[in-house]
Amino acid sequence: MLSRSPLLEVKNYSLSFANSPQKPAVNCIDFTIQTNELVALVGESGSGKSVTALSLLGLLPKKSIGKQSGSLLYTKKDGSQIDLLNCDEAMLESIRGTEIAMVFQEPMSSLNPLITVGEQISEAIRKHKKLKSKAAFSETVSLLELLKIPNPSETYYKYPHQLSGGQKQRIVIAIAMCCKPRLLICDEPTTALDVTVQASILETLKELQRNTGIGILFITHDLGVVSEIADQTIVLYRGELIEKGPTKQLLQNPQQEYTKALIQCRPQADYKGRLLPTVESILSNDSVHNKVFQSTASIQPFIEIKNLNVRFVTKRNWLGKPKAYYQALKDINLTIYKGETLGIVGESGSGKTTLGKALLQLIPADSGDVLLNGTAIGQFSNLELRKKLQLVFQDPFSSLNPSMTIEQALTEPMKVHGMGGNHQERKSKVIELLEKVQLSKEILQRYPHEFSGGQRQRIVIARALTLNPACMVCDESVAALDVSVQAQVLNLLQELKESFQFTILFITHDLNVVHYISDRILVMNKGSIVETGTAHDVFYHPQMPYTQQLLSAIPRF
Amino acid sequence: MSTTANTSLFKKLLRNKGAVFALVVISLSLVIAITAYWWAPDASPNANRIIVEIGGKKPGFSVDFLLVPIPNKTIEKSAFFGTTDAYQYVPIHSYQLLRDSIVVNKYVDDDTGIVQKYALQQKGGTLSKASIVHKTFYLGTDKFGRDILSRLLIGTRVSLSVGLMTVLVSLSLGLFLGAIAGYFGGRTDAIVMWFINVIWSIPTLLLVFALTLLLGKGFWQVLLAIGLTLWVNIARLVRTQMQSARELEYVNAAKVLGYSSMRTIWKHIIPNIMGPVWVVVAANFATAIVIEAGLSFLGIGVQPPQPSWGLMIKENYNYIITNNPFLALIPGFAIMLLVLSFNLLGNGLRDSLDKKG
Repeated sequence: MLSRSPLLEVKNYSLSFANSPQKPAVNCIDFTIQTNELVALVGESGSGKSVTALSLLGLLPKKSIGKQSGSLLYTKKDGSQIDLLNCDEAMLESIRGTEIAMVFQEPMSSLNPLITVGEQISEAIRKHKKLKSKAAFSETVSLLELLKIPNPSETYYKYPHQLSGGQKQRIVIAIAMCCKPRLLICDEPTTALDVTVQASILETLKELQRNTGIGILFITHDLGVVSEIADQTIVLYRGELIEKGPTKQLLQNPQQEYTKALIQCRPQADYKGRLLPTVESILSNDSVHNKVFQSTASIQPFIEIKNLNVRFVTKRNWLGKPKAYYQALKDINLTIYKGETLGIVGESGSGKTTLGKALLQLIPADSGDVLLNGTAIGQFSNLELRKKLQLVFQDPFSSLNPSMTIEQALTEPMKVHGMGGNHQERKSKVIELLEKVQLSKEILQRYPHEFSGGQRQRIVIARALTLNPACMVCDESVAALDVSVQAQVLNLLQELKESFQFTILFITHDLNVVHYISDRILVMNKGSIVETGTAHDVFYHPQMPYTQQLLSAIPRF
Repeated sequence: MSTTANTSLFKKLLRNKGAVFALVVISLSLVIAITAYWWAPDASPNANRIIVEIGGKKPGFSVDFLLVPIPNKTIEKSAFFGTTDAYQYVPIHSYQLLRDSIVVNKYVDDDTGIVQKYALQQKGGTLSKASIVHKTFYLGTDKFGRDILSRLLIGTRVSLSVGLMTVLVSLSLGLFLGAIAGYFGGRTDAIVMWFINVIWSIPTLLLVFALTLLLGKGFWQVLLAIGLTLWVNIARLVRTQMQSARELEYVNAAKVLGYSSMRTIWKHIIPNIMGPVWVVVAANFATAIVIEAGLSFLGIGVQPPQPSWGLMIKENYNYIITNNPFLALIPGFAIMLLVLSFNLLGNGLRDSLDKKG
């Protein structure tokens, strides 16, 4: 490169939204991206990382922007520098795609389901480069090769739904790369993917950046991912730039308290059995996180699953008789002991969620028995069963009825189950439980939309606790939360388990979390159990190749 | 909908000019419908005071009347259903009060009159100077000499109650069938959808014909018939809304907490999907008014002498091309205004419910 000026230089950039002009979404941030450099923008939700990326391409709706200041200087292919903040729409349009391209989180929604993926790439090539279709075809195929897609000339003719999530994300990156942009912005491109897929995509991205010499701005909330690929790392917190520097230096020797907290509150191996530090506790220099939890696991079987099979019908004949099945669970044999925390881990499609749902009788089992305290689960009435087994969901935003106040939502289960003599009694029980999950009784009259994700997850946990269940199934219950909030919820679950003595079935894809919280771990793949063992054994001495492969794919530093 | 969501919805609605206009017109017509007989110049039941001599007059026509008591008439007084006339209304050009009688030049046409003599002592009462009243017909008279304004005001009641009743019938039927079809799926869904498709495939007007033939002519039959045709689009909407709501986690949560299906449907799903349903309800309200007017125009709707706007058009549409088009245009305009209002309200609701708005 001839020019010495950096590819992108963000100077004193601030932005506030029209609906809250007092609270800037991004406040005076400075950073640069050089060519052939991968810069990671790290932060929790609400830190302003996506806002920054979207404003680079002028993709924020004009109406919603209140005030912007500073400058976003970008050096074009011809060496001239422009300020993206003062560009008109025509200028921005000529930059999008050819100079700066973007990859979003969800690959399915960025692809047109009705057009073959090859056609979608070559369309972009034809449009921008004015190539004939034959030349565009060969260019598409070479682009697919560059992104390591198997059988490029066959994949060209496939539709998005025929590809896996990882392959779809590769296609999206290929579309972004087809006009040879010099800056690629990736907004959480691997968050929706499994760890093994994530690892391979990260590798491809890094290679792509090395081979083509482009600059990449990589937005993520996952410090593990950052450590794998980023040259430079920038930490954002509530719109403020907290710390920036070379990745290795920043992660190993963080200067700012917030960065330290962010690194420490991830459930790391050496925190097992102890309270996780949270961002609040570190920032306030609290030392409560030395508390040690006692395992409440016993040897008394609580739930026994014998030869459980679950099939889904995939094809029916014209009379509605099933013709083909998808075997979601194959001959599952499992004993869950009273008071233990059993972690079930696996990639998407492994059947871990199906197992939880089959246990809760939300989907019918094809064959096999489930015994609860030695009694077949079918012997219990619906109400009896629900009082024993409760579920904490993945998405705290949709698991509460938006039109009910917290008081209504939390007293209703007790009312249906005939617990508590009158509303007043139930209400006082609810207040008691809210205190247990560290929420005050002032929230009773509020609606779910007024709460953050972590608060909602606590409300959902409190709701499950109203029935005093013997077992809680947590289906990816912390997957949608920020790391600091995740630490709070994990701590809370363990505290509650200590005082209420219930059994936890913890379903997750996150190996660090599962190791941290579980007494025993169950690894699932393609509907079968691959490996079971104590958390320590599975994590440190995996026996099966699949488990080893999973563990080696976790980004660590 | 929650209270907070409701207040913000209402605020958004008030920012929409069309919806505000609609709300004003609708509330005004609601007030008129309830209090119609207090304002109507002709407050006899159904505004059915036939005075053939003054038939087909233009708006603003005014004339003197001699009120001749009707003997042995039982008078029913009601502020809500009108008061039966105690007098016979005799239009006059002029009168002369004599000692024991009154001589009037009875109105036949603008230029012609017949001299008639009435004794002061009548069977039902006495005539005096107070028996002469002056009346103005602000919107003219129909061919039977009935006051258009009064009939228009009382007709509001028919249109609104048709809308209201059909909405009640169609909403309850549509909500119930749509909800169970969408929630349970499978066989229930297949049966309800079959039923919906059958009703859907018959043209609305034909179906109403069939039902009116079956149930007979009349106000209540029309209400029921229109209601039974309009539930279909509510059911379809509720069904699709239900199908997507069924997949939401709070519905699963309700299941896990041991709530019954009916509790889940009515307490947890329905309140959250009513937004788009209200939009369709507003549109149905408008459709019901139009169908009722159409049926009345065809003579199988509301039966005379009950004043329905559609019926008023039917009675007077001959005048459109002759000398007095207002007789039919005025009720037509009233229909248009009310239907427009409900459609605007529906649009306003839709825009307010749109989260991007």
